[in-house]
Amino acid sequence: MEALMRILTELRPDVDFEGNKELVDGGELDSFDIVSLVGELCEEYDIEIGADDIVPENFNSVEAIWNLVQKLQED
Amino acid sequence: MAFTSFRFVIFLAFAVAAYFLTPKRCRWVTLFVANYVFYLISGGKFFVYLLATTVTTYVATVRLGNMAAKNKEAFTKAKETLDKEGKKAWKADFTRKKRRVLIPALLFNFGILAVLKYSAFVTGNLNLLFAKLGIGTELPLFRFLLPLGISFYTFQSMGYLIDVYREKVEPERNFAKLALFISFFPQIVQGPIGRFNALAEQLYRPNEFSYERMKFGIQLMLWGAFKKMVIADRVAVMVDTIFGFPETFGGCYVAVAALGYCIQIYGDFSGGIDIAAGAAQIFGITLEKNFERPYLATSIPDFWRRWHITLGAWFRDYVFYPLSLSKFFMKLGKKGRKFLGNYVGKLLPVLIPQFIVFFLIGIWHGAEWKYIAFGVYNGSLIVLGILFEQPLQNLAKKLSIRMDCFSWRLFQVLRTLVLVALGKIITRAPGVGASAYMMRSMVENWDTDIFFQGGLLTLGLDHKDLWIFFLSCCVLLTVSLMQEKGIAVREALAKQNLYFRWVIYICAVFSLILFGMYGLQYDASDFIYRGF
Amino acid sequence: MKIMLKCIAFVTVFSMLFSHTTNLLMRHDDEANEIHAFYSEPKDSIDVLYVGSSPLLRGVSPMLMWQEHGFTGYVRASALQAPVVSYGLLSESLRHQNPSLVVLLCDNIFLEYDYAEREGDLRRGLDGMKMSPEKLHIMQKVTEEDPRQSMLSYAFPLMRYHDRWKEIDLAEEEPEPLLEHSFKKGNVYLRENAPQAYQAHFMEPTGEAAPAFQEEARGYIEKSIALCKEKEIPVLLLHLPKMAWSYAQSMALQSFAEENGAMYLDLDLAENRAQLGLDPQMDYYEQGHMNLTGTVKVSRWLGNWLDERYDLPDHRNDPAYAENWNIDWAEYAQRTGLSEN
Repeated sequence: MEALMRILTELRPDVDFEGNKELVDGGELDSFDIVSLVGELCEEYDIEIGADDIVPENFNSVEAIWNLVQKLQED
Repeated sequence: MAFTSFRFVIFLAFAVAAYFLTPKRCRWVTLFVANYVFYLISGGKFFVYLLATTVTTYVATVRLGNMAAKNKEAFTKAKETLDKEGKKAWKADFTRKKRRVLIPALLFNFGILAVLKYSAFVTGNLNLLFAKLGIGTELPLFRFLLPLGISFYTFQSMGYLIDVYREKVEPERNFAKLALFISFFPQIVQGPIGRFNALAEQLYRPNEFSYERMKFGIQLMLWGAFKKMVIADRVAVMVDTIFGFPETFGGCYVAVAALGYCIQIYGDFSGGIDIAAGAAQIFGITLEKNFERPYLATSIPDFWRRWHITLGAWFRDYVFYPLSLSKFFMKLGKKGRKFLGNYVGKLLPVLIPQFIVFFLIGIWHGAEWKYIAFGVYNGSLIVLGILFEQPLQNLAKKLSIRMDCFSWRLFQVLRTLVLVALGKIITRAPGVGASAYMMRSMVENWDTDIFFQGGLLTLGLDHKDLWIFFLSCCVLLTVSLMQEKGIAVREALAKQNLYFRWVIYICAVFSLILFGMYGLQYDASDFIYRGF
Repeated sequence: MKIMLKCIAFVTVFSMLFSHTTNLLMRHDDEANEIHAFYSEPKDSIDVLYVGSSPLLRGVSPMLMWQEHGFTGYVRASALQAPVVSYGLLSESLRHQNPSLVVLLCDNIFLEYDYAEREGDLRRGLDGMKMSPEKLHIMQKVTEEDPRQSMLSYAFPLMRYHDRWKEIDLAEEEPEPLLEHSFKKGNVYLRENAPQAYQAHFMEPTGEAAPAFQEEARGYIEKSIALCKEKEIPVLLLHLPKMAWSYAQSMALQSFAEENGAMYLDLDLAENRAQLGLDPQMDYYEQGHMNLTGTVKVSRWLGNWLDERYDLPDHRNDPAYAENWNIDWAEYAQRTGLSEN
């Protein structure tokens, strides 16, 4: 979780991630951010995130991203 | 059947009446029948293409669905015996199997689109190439008439196919229901491109009749017709004149034409979408947003998030993400970082797919070099925008430019508008050469006759028309600014007094009747005594 | 229920505005006005009904015949009236009127009608016409012949004239209200005079054949005659004086009339011309039409001729007619200057 926060703040220092539940729907993260983020996550957690995982629900909040990472790690 | 034709109004009225008179259980069937009647009336024999797409989509998705169900069962059984690697291998194997279904269906449907849309372009250019190389063969030129809405329904059904492949949605096993989803008549002509998970349920459920919804729907249709008939079709006269004779008009004429074309295409396209959305709303169906005041965008990426949103979203979800997240580009990103530094390297897996997407969006618009140029232009703007974002921000800081004020926002909007307008010249001019010529003449030749020598009046619109155009653009701008501020215009109107509302409705209808561009133009000389 | 009432109220307000705007912008001239003021004539009050092209407008004065013989008449004619329009107007008229005689001017049986070129002429008869099966039939025919036209624009003429706000200055020009009652009874006379001369051997048998009939025109004229027969109304095919006419054409129409059991009267035939006493120097507006003095000569002679041959009533002492028609005659006589002689 800490590593995730670090990645996120490095990626977009201007966004307040805590408590934000509309990161994608609210337009904070655009598709470029998502791709960069996915690249970092894959490396950090040794997982594979495919295009089919890229839905707003998986990226709308820090918790959602964290859940996605955990789900993929379990698989 | 054009949206602004009387026939469409009649058709819609019958379809709505039939829909709400059918027992609830079968309402979707009525809608399905209405779609096919609509397609047969306006698309004629081309409906076999629509049918082919529907059938292949149906077969492929049902097959994918069956496979997924079986796989799930088998996987649960085998789960215990598999280790992590084994699970991975199982998954990979299953994906391969699914692809054997997915890829032929994709190839078939996009193949139809490609052959119909691009074969004349490809053979024509091959012939040019052969001639240059001195090869004597000449390929026959196939020019196909395009089936109505093929670019839209192909994308909509292929999006659904990929969603089923990704196991995001369950396949629809009722063929007629699937056919209904692919052919919903308000959106088949020019979009918006619908998503199965957002649209299908709305089409299948029995919607209740609602007076409010019907009122709002009709209002939205009127608004769309206003944008199309009063604004777009009027300014089109002027735009056509200038673009029709690129050699004659230079300087400010080109600038006026480019701006005019921006307004024309927005009024035309978003007007059509509003009519579609309004018609759907009467049935109780909400279509996805396709435009969000694009000319108030502050940057080119922002513009593309506001213009033809459903097409952009389609390419983002089904082309951009798969490409940029593919192993190839992920590796490229890693390598890039080693050789090109962190900043650029990290962007590589984004920039190249983005460029490809714009290239595809370009040729989606049509099979001509100018659309390819248009795609490359937009792709380049976005790439340059990203590459220079950091340096420019540093520069602005050094010059201590404030960025949180209205004037800066206005500057951004105008800058974006200019860039967009240049792009529109590319798509509207007869060819790439002509647009280059026009852009050059805009810079080199400051012909200001259009403003000072009455040149504006020589382009096919008289001063009364220009006034109507100007005033209706003011109305459009006012409404857009209200929406941008978050005011829901129709809801706000509904809260007003009955009398005020009626005045507005009557003005709206009469402005369409009187100021809309339709029918034969009235020319008094057709009516003078010509032989007693 | 409240919603229903609201909708009805809205539609009513809207329709009123719509028809008002139509009247403002629709182009109507005196020919169109005369054709449609016919609607205000009381039921079964017209004795002789004239339908056809413009020579009728200029050449036949029902008012004069009223004054001299006491039978009533109405001319529903317009410039280059298409055969389909004439047939429609006749059929429409016969639903409201039961005349003792129908007079058709069918010179255009020789003319190929170019619908695409004749929009103005078509709309003169059609724009103000009430919606009816006849009108629908004409609309269908016209839109078939000229695909640029739409049924909608004939049903709601505002759709055609919607951008005339550019042409007329609504602030300055008081729009002419639609004519509701005609004192001319369709006789749009003209005063100007253009001296004419008969060509050599005018109306002499030359042995040349007449041009062929146009099938479509012939069809509609035959239908018109058949319709009158069905209603047991005698039909007179009339030709009024004009310079471009020939003996062969006259004979062709003569035998056409005989075949169809109708009467034919040609005012250009030598013996009729002699009785009419027309002066080519004085009585023509131009080569195809009478002016007012010609109209008076033609109408006096024709009135006598009709009165002698047909069983036409004299309403001059019938209070149901006399009052209105005498008021109209007074106005007609004063405007034309006929009261002075």
